[in-house]
Amino acid sequence: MIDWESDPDLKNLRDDFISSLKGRLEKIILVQEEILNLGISSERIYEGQIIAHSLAGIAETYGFPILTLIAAKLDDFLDFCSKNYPTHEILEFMNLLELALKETVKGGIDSRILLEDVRMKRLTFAVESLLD
Amino acid sequence: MIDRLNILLAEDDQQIARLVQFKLDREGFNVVIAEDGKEAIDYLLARKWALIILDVMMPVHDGWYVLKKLRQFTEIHIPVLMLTAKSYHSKDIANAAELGASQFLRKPFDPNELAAQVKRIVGV
Repeated sequence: MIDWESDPDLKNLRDDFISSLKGRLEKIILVQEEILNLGISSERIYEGQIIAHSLAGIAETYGFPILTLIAAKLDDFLDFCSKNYPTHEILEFMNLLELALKETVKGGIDSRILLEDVRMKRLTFAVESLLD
Repeated sequence: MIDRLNILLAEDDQQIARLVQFKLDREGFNVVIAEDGKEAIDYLLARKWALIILDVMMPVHDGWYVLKKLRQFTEIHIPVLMLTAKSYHSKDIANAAELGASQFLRKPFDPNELAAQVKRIVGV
């Protein structure tokens, strides 16, 4: 485990990472708006998956394991949707990632409260049952 | 004065690249960043590398292409540490081992574990 507060240069790197999440947050909001306005499409699923996949691969490295967990589950779910059929839950689960990102951007925290959110439980169940 | 060992890091995500460069710099290495597969290939012959850290998913050319190119230069024997996505990990290992990659590290990784692997591979 890295002690991010122990070194000012490390702290700056982490602060920069948190700032960079604003861009990812804007993108996930935009994808959701496109789905609401224009409907689900393979392109929009792919855009959402790119955001989730990229975030899953980095957030925990910077000390945000819950953000990685949510992003990884969304990545798996969207991967299934891209190869099979999209479900109405796509927006619900993208919204969950949006909330997690907002918490981290706003307060620099990993959102533990979302682990108990009903949407998280539904996403976990969906991924486990779809991938069986 | 002892020369620092050179490490080529091929990684398109700036946030990952900066952290790895910072961590390995503190461990005494000189890290050069390539932001895509083409840049990584251009750098292959640019200097003597103690190690190449290679991300799989990159623009222009992916890590597999860069690894194949490296192995075509038979006079160069550089160890390669591949960074793989969680979901592709087991498939990646088989593929990369055939192409001669030395080690693999799954994303998201612990920077301390990365540094430990790097030191093990280069033997410091």
